[in-house]
Amino acid sequence: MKLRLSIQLPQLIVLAFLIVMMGLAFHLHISLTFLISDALIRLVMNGILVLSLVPMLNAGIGINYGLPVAITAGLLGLCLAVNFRITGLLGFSAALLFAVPLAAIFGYGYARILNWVKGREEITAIFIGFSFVPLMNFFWAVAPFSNPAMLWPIGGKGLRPTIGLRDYFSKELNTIWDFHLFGLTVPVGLLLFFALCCLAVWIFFKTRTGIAMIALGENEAYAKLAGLNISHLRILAVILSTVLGAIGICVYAQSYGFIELYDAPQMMAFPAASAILLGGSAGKRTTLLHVVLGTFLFQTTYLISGPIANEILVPEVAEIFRMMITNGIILYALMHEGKMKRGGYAAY
Amino acid sequence: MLHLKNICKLFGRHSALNSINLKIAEGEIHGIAGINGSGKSTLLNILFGSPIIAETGGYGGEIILQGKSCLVKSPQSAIAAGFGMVHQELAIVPDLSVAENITITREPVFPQSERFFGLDFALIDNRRSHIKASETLKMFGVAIDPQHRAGNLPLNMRQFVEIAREISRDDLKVLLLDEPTAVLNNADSALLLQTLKTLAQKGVTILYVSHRLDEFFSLCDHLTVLRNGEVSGQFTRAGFSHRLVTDCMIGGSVVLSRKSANTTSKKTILSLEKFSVSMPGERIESLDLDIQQGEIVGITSLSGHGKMAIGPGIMGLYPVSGKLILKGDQAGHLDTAAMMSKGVFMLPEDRRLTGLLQHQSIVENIVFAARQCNHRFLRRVSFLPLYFPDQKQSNQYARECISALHISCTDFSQKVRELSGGNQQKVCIAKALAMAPEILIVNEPTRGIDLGSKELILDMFIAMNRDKGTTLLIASSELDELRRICDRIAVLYKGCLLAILSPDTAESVFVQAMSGETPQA
Repeated sequence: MKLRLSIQLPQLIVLAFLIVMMGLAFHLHISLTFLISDALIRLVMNGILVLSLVPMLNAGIGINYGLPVAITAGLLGLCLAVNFRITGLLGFSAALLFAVPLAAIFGYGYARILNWVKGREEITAIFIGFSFVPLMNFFWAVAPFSNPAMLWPIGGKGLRPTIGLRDYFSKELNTIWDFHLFGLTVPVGLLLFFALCCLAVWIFFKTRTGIAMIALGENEAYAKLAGLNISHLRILAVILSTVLGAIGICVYAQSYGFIELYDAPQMMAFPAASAILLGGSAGKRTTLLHVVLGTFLFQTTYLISGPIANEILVPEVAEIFRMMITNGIILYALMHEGKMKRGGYAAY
Repeated sequence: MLHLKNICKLFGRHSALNSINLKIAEGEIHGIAGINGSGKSTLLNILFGSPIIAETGGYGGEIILQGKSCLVKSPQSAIAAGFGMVHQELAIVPDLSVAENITITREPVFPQSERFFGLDFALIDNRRSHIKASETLKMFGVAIDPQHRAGNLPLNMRQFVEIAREISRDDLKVLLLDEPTAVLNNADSALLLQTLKTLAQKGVTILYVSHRLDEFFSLCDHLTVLRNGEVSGQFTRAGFSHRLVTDCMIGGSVVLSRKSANTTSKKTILSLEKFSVSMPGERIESLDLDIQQGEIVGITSLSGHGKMAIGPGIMGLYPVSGKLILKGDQAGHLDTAAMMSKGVFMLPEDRRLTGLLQHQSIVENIVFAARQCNHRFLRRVSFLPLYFPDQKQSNQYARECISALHISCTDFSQKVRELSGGNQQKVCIAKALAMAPEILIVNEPTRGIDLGSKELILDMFIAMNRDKGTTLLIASSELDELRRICDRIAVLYKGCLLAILSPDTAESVFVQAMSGETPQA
C-alpha cells in the first residue's frame, strides 16, 4: 500500500518548530532521552482521546467537540473503581469496566441530540459539552461516594477536584513490560494498549458496518439510496466515539496519576481536535496515520516548548504558546475546509 | 469581430483545448458542438473568465474582440469587455424579484441621489427597473410579471429571466450560451431561438453550445465541432447534415439502439393506486399506473410535471400517500431498505451528487449496495459476528463488469471521480446489475452523456430486460430515446397521468400530450 502522507503547511510549520526546539533543547542541555521517553508516554496518554474522534469524523458528523461527555463517563468509571478501593491493574480494568457501559448510555443520549440538530453538529457538540460539565459539577458535589481519599477533607462531603491515584492504579499501564535502554524508557505495555485500540478501530472500518459508515460520511444521499439506516449508523458512530473517549481518559488519568473532576473536562476536546487536524484529517477520510502523526507532533511540540520557554523566557510563556498552537491549528483547519468548499466548479 | 487565436488550456498535464482558432463575424450565431469532454464548456469558461480557469493556471492564446486584444482573467473583466454568459446551472437570485434579477448591477437609479451619494449608494428607481425588465421580457413573448419573486418561478421561466438579464445589457457584444434549452420544452425552446435570431440581427454575436443538433440546424450560421479539445470540423449552414456532424463529433458513426420483440408478460408486478408524492418541484397527484412484469415503461413529462418523482416516491425518499401494490402485496410504510430487499432498485438522475461515491474506487461503488443490502461480496470471520468484504470476489465481479459494459478506466481501483460522465453512468448500471433487481427505476439515464455512450447505455437496459427479465421504469425527457426502447410510455401532466401511449405514436401526439392535450383515441 502506498503511504499517503500529505505534508502540508501546518505540518511543515510544526515540524520546523519541533526541529528548532530540539536544537534549543540540546543547546540548553535539557536531556533529550528524557524528552523522548516522555513523548512516547504522552503519545499514548492523549492518543486514545484523539483516536476517539475517528468514528464520528468518518461518519460525517464532524469533530467530536462533545468529548467532555465521554470524559465524564470515564471519570465516573475511575471514581467508582477508587470508591471500591480496587487497586493495581485490577483497579484500572475495573475502571474501564464501569466506564464502558456508562459511556455507551451517555453516547446514546448524546447521539440522539446530534441527530436532532443534523447539519450543525459541531457547534451543538461544543455546547453540549459546555452544559454537561456544570451539570456534572453538581453531581460531583453531592454524589454519595464514601472513600475518604476522594472527599473533601473538611466536612467529608462532595468529591475533591483532584483525586490522587498513587494508592490505587497510578501508572499501572505505564509500567507493564517497560524496559530501559540507554537511559530511554520504553513503555511497552502502554504502547501495546494503544496499538490494540487502534487495531480495533482499524478492524471495525474493514467490516460491512464500517464501510457503510464511511460511505455515509462521504455522501449521505448515496447512503440513503443504498438503503442504509442513517440514524442508526450515526448513533453507532457517536457511541463508539464516546466509549473510546471514556477509555482514553482512563488511560490518561492512570498515566497522569490523578483524576481531575469539575471543570477539568471542559476544554479537553480542543487539544484532541487540534491534534487530529494537525495530523491532516481536514476535509477527507481520517486514517489512523492521521491520529498517530497528529498526536505525536502536537504533544511533542507541547512537551518540548514547556521547559525551553521556561528556561529562556518567563515561565507562563509556555502555556501561552500552547494555547496559540491548539487554537491556531483549529482555526487553520476551519479555513482550509472553507477553501475546499469554495473551490468547486460553481464558484463564481 | 471575435477572433480566437491559438486558444489552449491545460488541466494539469491533460490538455483540454489545443490551439483553437475561430473567427466569428458580428451578428453571427455560431454553434459549438461536441460530445462531453470535448472542450465546449472549457472554451466558454475561458471567454467568460470563470475562476476555474485562473485557478488552474490560466489559458494560452489570444482573444481579439473588435480588433483589440483583450485579456479575460475574471468574470468582471469579461463583462467589461462586452461578454455575457447564460449558465448551464442557473445563476439567478431566488429572493429578488424578476425585475431586480434582470437589472442586477445595472439598476436604474434616481439621478439626484446618485449625485449626492455616488452610484454605489444611490436609490434604485423601481418603476424604471420594471419597465426595462418587461421590455426585455416582451422580446421573448413570455408573460412574466416583473414583480414576481424569481425563486417562485418554474424552471423554464427562470431560464428566461437569466437570458433576459444578459440581453438587457446595452453594452453586450458577445453572448455565450451553455445549453440554454436543456430545461426548456419545445415551445419554449422555439421562443428562445427566435429571440436569439432577433438579437443577432441587432449585431450581437452569439456563441451557442448545445447537445441538440436540430437547434444548430435551425439557428446557426456556422457550426464548429470540437473533439478532444481540437476543432474537428467546421460547417456552414448550407453544409449541415445530421450524419456529417455526428460523425465529426465522435470520429465514427453511431448505430442507434432499438428494442426488438415484445417480451411483456401479462402479470402485473407493480401497481400504483391514487399514488401521490410530494417532492419539492416535482409533485405527483393521485396517479394510477400498472406495470407488467418484464416490460420497459417510459415515463415522460415536461420538467416539473412529475416524471422525476415516481422513483424517489416508490423508494420512500419523500412523503407519499395512496397505495403501492408490489407482487400482489400492499406495501405499508415505504422505506428504501425494504423496497430494495423486495427487489426494487433506483438509479438517481444526479450521478455526481447522489449516485456515486466519488472518492472511492470503481469496485467499491459497484458492490457497495449489494454488500449492504443483499449480503453479497462478503465473508464472515468464523468466530466473530462480523462481516468483512470479500475483496477477491468483488474485484473479480468488477473486472467482469468493466469488460462487459466497456467502462474505460485504468483498472477497477481507479477513483470514480476521474471517469467521464458516460463511464460514471456505466458504473451506476453495474451497481444496479450487482443488485440483480426485479424492478429497476432509472431517472434521466442519458442526461449529460455523449452520443456514443448513450447508445451503449440504452443497449444495456435492453439487454437487462431481455436476458434477466428485469422490469424497467425509465423517467426521461429524451422522448426519442424512450420511443426506441420502451414498450409503453406514460405521459404525465401536472402530476397526473394524462395518457399511456405506444412508442409508435407520432411525435406530435407526444408533444401535445406533454403540454396537456388529451390525445384522441
